[in-house]
This record gives sequence, structure tokens and C-alpha cells, in this order.
Amino acid sequence: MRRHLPWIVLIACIVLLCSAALLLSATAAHGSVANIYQDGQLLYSIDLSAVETPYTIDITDDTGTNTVSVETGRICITDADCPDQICVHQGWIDQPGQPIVCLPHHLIIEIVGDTSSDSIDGLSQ
Amino acid sequence: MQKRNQITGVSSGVKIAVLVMLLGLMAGCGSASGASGTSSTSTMSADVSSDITSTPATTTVFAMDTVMQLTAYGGDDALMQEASDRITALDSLLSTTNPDSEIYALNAQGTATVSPDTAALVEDGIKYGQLTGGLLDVTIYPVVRAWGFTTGEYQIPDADTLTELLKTVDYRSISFDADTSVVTLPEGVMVDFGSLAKGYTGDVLLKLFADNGITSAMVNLGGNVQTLGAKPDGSAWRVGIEDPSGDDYLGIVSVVNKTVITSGGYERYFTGDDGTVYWHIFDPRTGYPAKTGLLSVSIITDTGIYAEALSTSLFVMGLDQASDFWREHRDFEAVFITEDGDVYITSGLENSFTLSDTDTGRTLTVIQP
Repeated sequence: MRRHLPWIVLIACIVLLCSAALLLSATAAHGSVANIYQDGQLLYSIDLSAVETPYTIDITDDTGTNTVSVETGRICITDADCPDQICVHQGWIDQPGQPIVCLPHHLIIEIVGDTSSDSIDGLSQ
Repeated sequence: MQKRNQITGVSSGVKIAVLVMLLGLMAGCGSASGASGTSSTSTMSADVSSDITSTPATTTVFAMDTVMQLTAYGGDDALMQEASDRITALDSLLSTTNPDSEIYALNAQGTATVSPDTAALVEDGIKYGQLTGGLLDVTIYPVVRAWGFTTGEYQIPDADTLTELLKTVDYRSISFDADTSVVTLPEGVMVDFGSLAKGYTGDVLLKLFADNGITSAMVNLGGNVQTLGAKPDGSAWRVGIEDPSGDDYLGIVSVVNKTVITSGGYERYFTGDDGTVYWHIFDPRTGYPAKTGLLSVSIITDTGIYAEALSTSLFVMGLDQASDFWREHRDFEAVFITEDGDVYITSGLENSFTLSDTDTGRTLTVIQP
């Protein structure tokens, strides 16, 4: 029996470590993360809960520029040179299910993962 | 005694080996989680594992003048590519402005032999025209164009122009030969399936997913939310109903395997020189935007095309007539938001609709059969 003890310890350690890793990755997936896509390509993935000092990002391509403002827990487009300004008018978002879309610039900002009981999967509009 | 020491010696040796292995394992775990992080944030990610609760396959397509977001649990890149290609193909068939589209050719020449997708939409356009007493009319296009809603160069047409154009608005004038797939329009009549195309596309996408063994999926085609099955954990999808006076949602409807489609005056409108707001939902009887006291109508039903047909035509009907229409048919549910900010729901939504926390001050009325 004593002979097997090291192997039991080894297996126990592996099981424990893997459970911990799984738990960690699951918890991470529920953070408030904003993903910014242009033309379907992910440009930025920002953990909004970890933002301490507000900052802005200018996203420019040949269609124009959007200025994205990032604060703790929320994100918005504060300025854009698109004709309709729909993205700017939308204001801040802090939950999944209500992505900001700038159609003329093919830009999407969406928040993924959130445990808020009032969050939605999609917005019918 | 000595034997025991020996065992201890072996034991600590093993401990070191375990430690080394654990370090290796941690490094392995780190790189594995890094890899999964990359796949979950890419626009087209696929998870080939059989566990559908893991990261879904997703893609975003810009088509039909809107953004389409597709999510399929258990799907892969190939399926998302197929879905994306299908959207692009439908867009190029149904566009009223693309000179290569079937609809453009039909409107320009007055007759065209059409593909099965266009044929299905022509047949549905006629069917839902009949069902709604002509309040959904796919031949309203010349009127919509006269108001500038096709180009964004808005204007208020004079009454004579509208009277003249209204003579061409009648879905019953479309003739369709199912054997030859030939569609014919009388002189001056033009069709636009913009009021049905996104719903049709959603139905096509969900069928594609289902045919490929997907049991949990959601597509959001520019605010048309269509779901296949329940969420991977078995719970219902929570779909927000847009607040017509803001960008937030005023309530949530929980659905499984249903479509939620909203028509609202707030979606596209302009303010005329006379100070009046003119929006894009037209009354085919008058040629003017439908003002019936409603700001939006959301339809919850089985198919996208039916939901699209009803959201537009019930908006034109107004609350009373729309409530009677529901009592007569009972194969859909609806949420109405009035200009006064009141919310009306049909009785089938009593247990699945909730006002959001910030909107509890609104009046919620349940429409009874």
C-alpha cells in the first residue's frame, strides 16, 4: 500500500491542478470583456473590469475613424466620421446583447460574458 | 528502521518528480488556455468537441444593409462559411439596387424567370398580402422610393404624385407561374422584398444549422432575433425588446425555438420641414407613413418570414385591429408599445415577458383572447 502512495499523491495533484485550471478559465469567461471587431477581425479584447484609468482608442481604416472610450465596466464610441452617427448616439454599453455597430465602418463592439441576472442574449429592434 | 528510511528516500524522490511534472503540466495548461482564449475571441471560431456548452461557432456578416451575427453551439468554421455564403447569395438575389439581382431585373423588365429563393419570397409576399388584407404589400416600393427611403435623400411627395403611385400598389397584380418560375408585373409595378428578406434569411440559416445537427443557435439579423432550440444549458434565450424612446431595452421575452421580430417607427425616419416625423413603415392604402398610435410591434412566432409579415402589417393596423387579428389567428404572440409609452402583450406572453427594472413604472396590459 505504501508503495502506491506516491502515485496516489501524483494523480490527486494532477486532478486538483486540472480542476483549478478549469475553474479559473470558467471564471475568466464570466468577466466583463469588450471585443472590438472590424470587418469581422478582432482588433481589441479589453477586460473592462480591469480598467483603472479611462482611455481612448482611435480605430482608423480606409472607411474612416471611430474614437472608442474605455472606462471601468463600460465602453462607447465618442466620436466618428461616419455619416449617420448611430454608433455615437448609442452611448455607453456595459452588458452583453447590445453591441455597438458602426455599419459604414463595419465596426462592432460587443461585451461578452456577464453574470448579471438582467442581461440579454439578443436585442429585437 | 533502515527500510523505512529507504521508503522515505524513494518518497521524496517521487515528490521531486511530481513537482517537476506539475510544473510541466502548469506550463501545458497555460498554453492550452491561451489557445482557447484565442479561439473564443476570433470571429470565426469552431469547437469540435461534442460538448455544446463550450464556445460556440460565431460569425458576423455585413449584408442587406445591416449587420448579421450568427451563433451556433457545436458548429464549426465550415458551417459558418456555408451560412455566410448563403447570406451573400440571398443578398445579391434580392437587392433592389444591385443591377445584377433578380429583383432589379424583374423591376426593370417587368418579367423574369426567378430562382427558388426569389420564387419562395414572391409566393410568400402574395400569401401574406392576402392574410393581412393588403396591409403588407410588397409592391409599395415606388411609394417608399418617392419618399427617399431607398436613398436617404428624404422628401415629402406631393399628394398628386402619391395618388398616381398608389395606382401601382397592389400585390394582387403580381402574376407567378409556379411551373415555369416566371414572375410578371404590370407596367409601373415594382416589388421589394425588404420587409420579408431578413426573416426569410433567418429561416434559411436556422434550417441549415438544424440540417447539420445543431440543436442550439441564435441569429441576430440587424435586430431580428431568431433562435433554434434552447440555450446550451437548456434555459430559454432572453431577448430584449428595444425601448422606442431610447437605446436600452424595456422588457425581456424568454423564448425557445422562436423568432422575435420588431417593427418600429424609430428605426428609420426623418423630420420634414413641417416639423412632422415621417417614418419608413407605410400604409399601402394612403401612401403615407402609418400613424396609428403605435411606436413598435414585436412578434414572437415560429418563423422569421411570418414574424416579419406580421410586425409590419400589425403596426399599420394599430392596437385594436391588431388585437382582433391576434384573437382570430392565435399562431403568434405580440408586444405593442404605444405613443403614450404603455406596453400591451398578448396573453401567451404573460409568463415569459418581464418589464426591465428601470421600466416598471410603465403600464403593462395583457390582451385577452
